[in-house]
Amino acid sequence: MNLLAASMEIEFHPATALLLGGLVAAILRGRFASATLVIAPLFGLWYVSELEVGSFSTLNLFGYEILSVAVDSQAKLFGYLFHLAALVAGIYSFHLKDPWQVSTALLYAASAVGVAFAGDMLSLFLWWEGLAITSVFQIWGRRTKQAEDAGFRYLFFHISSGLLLLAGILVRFHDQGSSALSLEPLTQSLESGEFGSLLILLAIGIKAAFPGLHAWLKDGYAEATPTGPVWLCAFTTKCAVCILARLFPGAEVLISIGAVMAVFPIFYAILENDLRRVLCYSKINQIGFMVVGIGIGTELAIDGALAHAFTHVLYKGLLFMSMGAVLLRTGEIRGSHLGGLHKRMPWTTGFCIVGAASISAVPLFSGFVSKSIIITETARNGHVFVWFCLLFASAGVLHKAGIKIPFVAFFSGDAGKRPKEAPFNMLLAMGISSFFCIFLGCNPQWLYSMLPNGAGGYHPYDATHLITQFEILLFSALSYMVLHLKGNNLSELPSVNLDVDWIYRKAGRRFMRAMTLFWNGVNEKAHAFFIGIIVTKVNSFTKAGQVYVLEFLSDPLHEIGILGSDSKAKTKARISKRASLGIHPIGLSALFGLIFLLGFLLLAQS
Amino acid sequence: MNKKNKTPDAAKRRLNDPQNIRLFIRGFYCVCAIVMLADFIFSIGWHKHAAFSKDSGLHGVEPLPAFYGIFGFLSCLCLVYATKFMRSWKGKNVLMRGEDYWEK
Repeated sequence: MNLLAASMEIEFHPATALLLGGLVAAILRGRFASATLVIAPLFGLWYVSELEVGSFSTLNLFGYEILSVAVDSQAKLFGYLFHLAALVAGIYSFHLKDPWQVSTALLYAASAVGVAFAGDMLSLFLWWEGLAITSVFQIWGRRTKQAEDAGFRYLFFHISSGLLLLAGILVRFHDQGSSALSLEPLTQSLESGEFGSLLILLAIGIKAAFPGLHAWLKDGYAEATPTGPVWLCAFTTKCAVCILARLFPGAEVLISIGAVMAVFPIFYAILENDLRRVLCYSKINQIGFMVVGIGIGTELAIDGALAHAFTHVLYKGLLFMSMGAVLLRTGEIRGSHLGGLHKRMPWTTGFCIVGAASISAVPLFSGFVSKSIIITETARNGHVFVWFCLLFASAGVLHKAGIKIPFVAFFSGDAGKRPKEAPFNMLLAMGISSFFCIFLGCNPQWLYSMLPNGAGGYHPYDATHLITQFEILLFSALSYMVLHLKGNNLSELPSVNLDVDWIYRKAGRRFMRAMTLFWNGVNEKAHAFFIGIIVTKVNSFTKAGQVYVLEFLSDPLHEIGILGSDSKAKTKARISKRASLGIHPIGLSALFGLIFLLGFLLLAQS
Repeated sequence: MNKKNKTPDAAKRRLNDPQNIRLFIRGFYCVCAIVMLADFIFSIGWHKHAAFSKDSGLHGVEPLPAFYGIFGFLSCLCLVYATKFMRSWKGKNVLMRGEDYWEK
């Protein structure tokens, strides 16, 4: 038994190749640094394929034994996915001359692999934080003021997510001891209202862009470099989906959250002018499908959610790549300023259409084979309202991502841009992604065989599915066309739209300004009163007070005859001068001293 | 669509030719009609399997021919009109702001 256990202990962490690649890229320059973008994911991909399900690795850290790697089929699936995404994004970013961006991109991918293979809560937490820190450089890499600000806002959300995760782990550890560190499902403890589980769900919720916690996504990705979102869209939210499927399968609350996530971003996506932001909203909508699948919690639904995460990385990456190419070549990503690019960028247009067909779940493209599992399972488990939401979301996603993105950027009216076709490395990356989108769409069994439960004999290509899917897609497209021909479609206007980020970007700023005004006002008034009035009075009293007192006492004392034989006025003038200079004869000082002493003794006695 | 565009790549102008666009639109209507027809024929002649179980209220409704087509068409119409109101309501902006809104 021991021998068996020893043989299952793996030598290297699956993220080693990417980690080393990231470190090496930081030292190298130019094409050598870029080469790591391709070599590291290839090595990693090979290593993941060699890993056996059930193997693990432990690590001693701060006196605790951490299960740093636990290989199961879900971890392997995400291992393949993240390495594949890193490879494609690496080829896409091959032209980059910024070693910082290259190096952090690989470290970011390594963190994602770390999350996928994490064996317990502690190792999860470490990689989770790594994910936050390494990813922000894809936003800051653009080096504009807006990108810098958006990066800080992004970091705020992700560091909060890490802290919530840590808090959740500690709360659970405090209650249950070291058993709380395992990555066993927490669904029951969540539903019994355990605080620690709630914190962990919230931490994952931030990264998965739950409604209300999603603003970082559209804010950060839209300000990133042209290559940035290709990396960003592959890892952060998919790590969240991976961990959500591990920790909260079958949590009922996720069904409602997922349904809201699937529906509300569609409206925003149609309003949005920035095409990368349109993709961000459609990304939230697609994650909504996955969250619903995890919430339903049957084996097939979880498989559907994981399969959808897999296909989603490929086609969403592809769409972000085509938009990145447009941004790189034209310097413009606002829909209102684009159009007619298909003549100049025919390959990019073609790849974008493949991505759009995949996200719209057109049969023979990858989205169809994964999304239909989730929708079917929603119906089979009797969630009528959620099923309607998902169907509505499917129609909507065709409208906004499937038609709007390619149509606005590459067709519609000519906006006068005459760019070159995208660089070869970008076209190659888009080509590889397109290949996988079509390949997985036509051969879903490849994807299904990698899933933890093998998709339980699900067949996406039966006549009912095909007819109903074509029907919903074509008639949604028909409504787009009818509205467009009648001029009733929503035109792209140079604008921004208010979302929940208004709370912290506007209301928060106003609150701070109001508070500054109020508390600074209070401070100024207090200053004016205490320093301006009281201190001045005390000051003038200590300076002039004794003069007044002695002048006041001068006449009565003169009457008694203890102040010499000078006239009253002269005595008064003398005393006044002495008092203002603070020079008194020693006898007088002694007299006052005696009087004070006597007074003090009397007081003490009484 | 774009008659003003007189760029050298005339070979690719065929996508902008109004006649071709009309042809494309007509073809698209035909495809929609074919799919709808296929749904009717399939529903009558073969067994279309229901997504919902028997105890669900939608069991009898969902497999009806054209259900998905009508739903898709209507939901997209609703979507567009709803977003119009989200953008502006009675001439006043609801969610839309100027591009420099965040910097102000």
